[in-house]
Amino acid sequence: MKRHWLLFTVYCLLFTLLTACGGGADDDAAARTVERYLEAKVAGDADTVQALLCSTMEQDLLRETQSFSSVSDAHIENMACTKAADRDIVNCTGTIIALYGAEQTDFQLSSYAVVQEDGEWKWCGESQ
Amino acid sequence: MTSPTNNPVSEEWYALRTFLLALISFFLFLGVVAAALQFQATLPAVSLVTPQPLPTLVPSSVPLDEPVLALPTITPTVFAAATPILPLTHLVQSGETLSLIANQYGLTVDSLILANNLANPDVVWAGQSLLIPGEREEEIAAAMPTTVTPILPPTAPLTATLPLTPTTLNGIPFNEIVVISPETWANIQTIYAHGQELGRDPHAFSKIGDSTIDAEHFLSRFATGPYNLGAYAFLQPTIDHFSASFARQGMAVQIGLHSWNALDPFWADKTICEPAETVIACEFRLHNPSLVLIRLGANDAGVPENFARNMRDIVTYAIAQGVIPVLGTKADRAEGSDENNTIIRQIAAEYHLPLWDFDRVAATLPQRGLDEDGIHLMAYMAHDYTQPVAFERGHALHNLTALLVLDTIRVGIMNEEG
Repeated sequence: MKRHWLLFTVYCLLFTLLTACGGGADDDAAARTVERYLEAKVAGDADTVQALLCSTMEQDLLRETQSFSSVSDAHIENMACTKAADRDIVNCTGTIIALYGAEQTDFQLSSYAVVQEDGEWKWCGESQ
Repeated sequence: MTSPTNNPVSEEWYALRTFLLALISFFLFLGVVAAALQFQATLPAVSLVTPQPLPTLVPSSVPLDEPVLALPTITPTVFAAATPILPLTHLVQSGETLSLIANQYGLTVDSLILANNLANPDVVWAGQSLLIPGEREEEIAAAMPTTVTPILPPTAPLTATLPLTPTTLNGIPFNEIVVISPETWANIQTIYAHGQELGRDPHAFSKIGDSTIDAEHFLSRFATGPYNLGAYAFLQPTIDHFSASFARQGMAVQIGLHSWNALDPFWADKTICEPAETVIACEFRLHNPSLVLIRLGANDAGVPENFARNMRDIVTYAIAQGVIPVLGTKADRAEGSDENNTIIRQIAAEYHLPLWDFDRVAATLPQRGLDEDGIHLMAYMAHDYTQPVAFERGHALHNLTALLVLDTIRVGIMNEEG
């Protein structure tokens, strides 16, 4: 009986540990998806944008890939993204810097919706 | 060798000849005096002051049909006597109306209409010669010496295309710059009514566009002054009506803006706009306009299908929001053709929306009114529409035509007279 209790306790500890580790990895994956997506959008990397865009926004693919095509030297500074607990939202801080001629335009990063499709996190627009 | 004085025949002959010559000269002199006196007696009782040469009517570097070209004052031919009564004409100056002219001469409008057989008294134009009914010429000549003119030579009709209340701009009729069909009028009345139900501000308009309509050059001077509308002073009530909108950059005017950026929350100012709010939605929420000027396309090069789709999305959204979309064509050919303007015109026709066809006016301008980069319009900070240069600069006419659009809609939809 005592042995059974020991096995049960070990099992619970392992379950808790694995669940926690698994969730953290999942959150990181969502945040990483958003970071990759934003980098790709700013760079006009159509393949990556297409790969990371959720299915409900497929009709916006061209808009997304060409969003910064009229500005030059667009890049992101100080980007940091984290997934919100219990919500499919990734909050990002940082700034997109773009030049139009000699004039600089800043775009502040915000919060983005993410969804899981076929086990992969996808970027799905700005969160409400 | 003989001396003449020593020859008696020669002396007599010489004296006789001298006498005859003196006699003939005397009679000739009498004849001339008599003729002169007779000629003087037949001269009319009118003496003309030497007329000044007619000035050049239109500077050669300026299009003939620029309405702001104030016709130069023509030095009058002043008649020293009233008989015989000669017909007087008045050369209509820019900014004058028939009633104004009638007042100047102490006449009634009806008498001017009658004397000139005017079919439409509302239509007189700068450069037009009006016959002044001939009962008060002396008073007229004394009172209005600078405007009494001889009938102009045949070159005068060159200025006849200069309308008093202008109906053209650089030769382009207003109704080809502001294109609103009867169907469009009906449609935008419906949109406007819907907007009023939603509480849209009839005194507010918004702008959607790129750096070519940046507030520094686009319309803001009409809010801050100084400006001089010249012959277009009839647009002032529209400036007054929309006074809070002219200097406003708004959320939807950004450098580098594409048609798709207007629908992209990414491009909305995160410090002002709500989460996930598009650029247009943010602008409409903040300014609550009843109409929106849409001037896009310079950055949408090489993607006509995408441009068309986004423009349709933009106007569809605006219509749903009760905001009248006004589609503007652009001067540049950034896409290497007139492709985007064609799309804009098609969508305006398709959706029965007002078309602000600035491209037509740009075609009359040096370098299409564009700056050296071929994208942005040439600036004209003075905003003085009495100056010919105003009618050669892109921004100057871009602003003026935008005012025309706003004025047309204000009067036609908002039922407000100037």
